[in-house]
Amino acid sequence: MRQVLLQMDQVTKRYGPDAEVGPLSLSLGEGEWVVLTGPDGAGKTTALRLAAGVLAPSSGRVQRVEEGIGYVAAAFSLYPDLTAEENVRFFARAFGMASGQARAESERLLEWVGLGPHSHRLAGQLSGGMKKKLALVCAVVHRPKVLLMDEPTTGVDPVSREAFLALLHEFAAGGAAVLLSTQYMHEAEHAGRVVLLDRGHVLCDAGLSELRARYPHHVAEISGGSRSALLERAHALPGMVSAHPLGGRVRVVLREPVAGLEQAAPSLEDLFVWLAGDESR
Amino acid sequence: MLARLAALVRKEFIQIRRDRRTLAIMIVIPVLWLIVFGYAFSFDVSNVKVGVIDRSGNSRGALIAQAIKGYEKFKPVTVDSSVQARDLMRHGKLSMLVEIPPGWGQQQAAGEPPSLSVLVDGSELFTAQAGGRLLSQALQPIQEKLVSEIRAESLAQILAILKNLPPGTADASQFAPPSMPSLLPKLEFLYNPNLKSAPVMIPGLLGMVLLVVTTMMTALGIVRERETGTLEQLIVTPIRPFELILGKLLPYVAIGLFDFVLVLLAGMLLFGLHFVGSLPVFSVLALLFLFCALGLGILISTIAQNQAQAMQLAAITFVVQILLSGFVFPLASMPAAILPISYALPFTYFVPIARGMFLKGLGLSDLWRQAAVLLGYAIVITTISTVRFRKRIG
Repeated sequence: MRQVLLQMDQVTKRYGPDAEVGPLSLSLGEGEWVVLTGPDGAGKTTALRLAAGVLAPSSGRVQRVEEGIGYVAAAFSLYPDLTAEENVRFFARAFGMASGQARAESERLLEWVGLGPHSHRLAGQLSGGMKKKLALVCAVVHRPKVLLMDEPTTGVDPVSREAFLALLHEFAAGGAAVLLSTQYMHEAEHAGRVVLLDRGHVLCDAGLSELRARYPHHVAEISGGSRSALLERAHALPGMVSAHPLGGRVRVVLREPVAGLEQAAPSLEDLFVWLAGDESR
Repeated sequence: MLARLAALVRKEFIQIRRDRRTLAIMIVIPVLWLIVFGYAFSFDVSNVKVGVIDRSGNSRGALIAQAIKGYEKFKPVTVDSSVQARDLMRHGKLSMLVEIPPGWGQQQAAGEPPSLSVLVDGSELFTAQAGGRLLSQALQPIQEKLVSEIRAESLAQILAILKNLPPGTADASQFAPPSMPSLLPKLEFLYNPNLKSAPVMIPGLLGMVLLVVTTMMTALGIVRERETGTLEQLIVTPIRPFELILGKLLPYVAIGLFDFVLVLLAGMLLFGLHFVGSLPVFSVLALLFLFCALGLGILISTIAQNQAQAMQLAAITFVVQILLSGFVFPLASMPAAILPISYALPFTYFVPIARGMFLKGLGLSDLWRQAAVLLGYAIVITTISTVRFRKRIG
């Protein structure tokens, strides 16, 4: 059986009389890749901070492997007045690595993410994408078993984002568990499991394929013609639930499949709209 | 644990080294204060602007007027009338007026002999206090001269009377002029013979430098970690709260001690101060005080939410300590309601230690009470602040 590396049981965090996140229950096993997503204010950051131990829970229990956590906060939170290399070496030493090992690992990892030529630049002067990569390096330098990342790809250009996710995959291939939050729902495609949060509650916690199988609607895409013409056509389809433009096409959610239309896999947005709608009903 | 601490201290030193301006401030502040408190902020009063109106109409009055005008610490101002003198005082051109009344210094037929009247500008506190004291000093040589004159006169009178008596009634050699007790005391000041400000201010300044550099920098340093989010990152590491605090403190201890030595040496070389006590004992006590100041800094960092608040809180603690500790104003002059505040401040205990050891050469046997309070203070405040400082962000 796979080892559980992080276990959250009915964990809550109260911010005020009517602001509460949770109760959240979540477990993370060896080699798992879990994406935490949901709209703004759903409680993603709080959930990750509780998992990392940065916030003390108001109630409930968090168990995690000792000294095996890597954490990347949403905002840049390294020392801007230290160089990239000094930051990595500081965190390596803070996690108890020997001096020589810290130096070697920081060099290797900075090369790995492509920051080798910038290792002597002050962290505060790096570009947004470089800062994210540096934060990743600082979080994984001690080879944690669990990597918690709060929106690591927000503000990173699409090319860098793909490269960044590839790096994460490479890291996770070593058997570490990854829990990351994102606003970009397509990033959930990388994940084995998706945790959807809404207003402080877990809406669902399941694999993407399982969720798609449970999805009661059908998604189709129509193309050819102006946007208004396509939308008009979509609204005329039988059993139409919703329609919205996507590039030159229009995506339609239907209660029943309609013959002759190009089928599409439900996106995480589609799943979220369905689940959130279920909840409010 | 030592490796983690070393990493923190190393990181802190790199940051201090990169922040050239703050580093410069930490070194410039003590030098600046040394100049302000040693030279400019002086309670030594000289050049008191004095006017004299002599209405005595005799040589004694003229002698007195001349003595006052010629006194080295007075700056004579020409004054014709007391109305004009009051006007000059209003405009700050005169600090003291001495009026010698008509007939002063002559034998009076009846009634009280007229006395010198002195008018002092009370709006200049230190000048007013010093003016009165200096007047006595200015008159001292004249008094001696007058006394010997009076004695000579008395003797002459007695001898004249004796001459008129039948011979053999009295022997002139048996008579001496009356001896007069001097009413002006001969003052001698121990430890600081010239009553200079610098020897009294600089020992306390040593403490003030430690207080400001360490309290402010520690408070700001910890709050900055919280503001930039690095605290969030540190929480995930195995670094324990007390390691984090110690890692923050040690570099500022080093800078505080550097400033301490700087002020100590400058005080000795620039102001010619002599340290008469035991330097090792003084250093240990200063270290105790340093820990009080650092603890205060951590305490502030646990209360303040941002650097601006930390700065404000730190500034309040400095001002209160500087004003109420006896460093500037003597504790004896403070109202009873203020004294409990004074005695709650660590600086109040450091000032007598610094002055006592610096000027009087006192040792632990004389200052053990103050030392014990500082020790207790250091323990209590670092304990409270370490307990309050949790490795959490909210």
